[in-house]
Amino acid sequence: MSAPEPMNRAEVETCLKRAGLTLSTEQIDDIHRVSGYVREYLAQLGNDRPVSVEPALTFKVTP
Amino acid sequence: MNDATQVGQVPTIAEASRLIESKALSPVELTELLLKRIEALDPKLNSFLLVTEKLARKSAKKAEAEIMAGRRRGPLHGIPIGLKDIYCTKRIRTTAHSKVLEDYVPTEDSTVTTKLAKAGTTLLGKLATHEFAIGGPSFDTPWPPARNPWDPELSPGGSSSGSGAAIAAGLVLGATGSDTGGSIRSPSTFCAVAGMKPSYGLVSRYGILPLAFTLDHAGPMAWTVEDCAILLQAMAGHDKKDAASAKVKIPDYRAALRQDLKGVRVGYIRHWHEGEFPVEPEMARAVEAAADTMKKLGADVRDVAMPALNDFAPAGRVIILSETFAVHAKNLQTRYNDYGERFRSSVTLAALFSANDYVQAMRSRQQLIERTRAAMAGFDVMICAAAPGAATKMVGYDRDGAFKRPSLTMPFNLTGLPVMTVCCGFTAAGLPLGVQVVGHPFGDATAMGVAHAYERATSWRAKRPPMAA
Repeated sequence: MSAPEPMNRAEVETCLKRAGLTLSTEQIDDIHRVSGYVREYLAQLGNDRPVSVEPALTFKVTP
Repeated sequence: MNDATQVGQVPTIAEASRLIESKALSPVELTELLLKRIEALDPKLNSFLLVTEKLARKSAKKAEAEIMAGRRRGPLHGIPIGLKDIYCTKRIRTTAHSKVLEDYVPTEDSTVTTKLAKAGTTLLGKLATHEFAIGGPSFDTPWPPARNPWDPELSPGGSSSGSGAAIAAGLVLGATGSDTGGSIRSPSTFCAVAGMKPSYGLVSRYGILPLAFTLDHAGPMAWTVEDCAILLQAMAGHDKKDAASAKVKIPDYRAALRQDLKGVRVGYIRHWHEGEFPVEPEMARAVEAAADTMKKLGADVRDVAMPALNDFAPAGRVIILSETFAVHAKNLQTRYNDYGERFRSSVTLAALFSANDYVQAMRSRQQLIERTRAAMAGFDVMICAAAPGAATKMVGYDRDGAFKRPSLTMPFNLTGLPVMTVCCGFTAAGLPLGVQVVGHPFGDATAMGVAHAYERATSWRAKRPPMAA
């Protein structure tokens, strides 16, 4: 099974530049090739949650 | 029951402790035995990045003198251990198995390093890890990766790879590990050792090189659950230097170990490994047999419906990569190629995430914590497979595979629940398999108690890797 359709290469390059990374062409090729997986799991993650679901609760674990 | 004569003359911590207390075993002799074993076996395993031989001899002599003078500190006094090389050790090189920290010598011990030293342990050295506890096994770091004592062609799992390999080979009696997505539990499974990922906040992370702040757990690894209980007793406790450290009462973990499971309610997470993510048949059979053994010990074992593994995967990936990137951002910007390929090619993916993605992942995590809490209500512990199968070959890097396989261990990093991983048998080829025993938040003692009863009812602890016998 091949990797899912990658993100737009220019978009990948912009993200890497914004993160302050300097990669070789080969390294950018690799990130671009697997970027479709990233898009897939970000889509799975989604955005639609009630406002009451907030990260601060994660650290309120009690015995 | 363990028998030192069956395991190549290497005792468990509990056995060695009893012998030392009765003055039938000298800490100096024990340390010398293990140094000899390291010299003989570790060239094939690469489990040590640094053997602190001189320091170990000095420490063992001091322990012996104190014990002979009637000043025994407790069950770890004179016990030789190793530290995963992300635990900072004052004046002793700490590298995270990376060129980035090739010559790093900390000026301070981690809290756990200090606690284990105060308990009287003898440090034999620093143990191999996947680079910064995520990027391995790698062949492009300054040291070769650790190998599996059950078959050196196979991976010992990771990232606490040196800890798993060294314990199984009988080079140390116990070790520290860290677990951000399964890094204690994977080597415990593949090397047939016992590994405890405690509740989030139970063991201080201060002075341990971070991977992902909100997922990192420090914990013990050893040959038996009882040995993990002894180590955890020394490691656990509130530490104001760790922002995530919990203020909870620390129970007597060893006293909580059980002989039977009468009245214990066990939730069996069957649907992960039989449904959505089928594991190797030998692993599935071994976990089923573990559930049967628990029933015979008196447990009420019933299937439990947890959230789907694929619900945990996106949040786990986004959080671990985002937080790791944040820790390493400066070095990634200035020394990108000093990291090994596996580390940098994984962590770089975080550059493709937005701030919204990270926050949504944390919110998804909160929903998963709530769903897990609801699923677990009515059970004392849950059990599930610890890995998709037995250890695999060291060679090759399945870049795409990492995205396709959901993790059987990450759910309990996201939820912060305690997990004791123990051996649950061997494949026909003689390779170890493992089962996870999951507790409620800060129910570490219960998880260990159940795992201990199961372990004692099986014969798996009588078998060491052939090279170690």
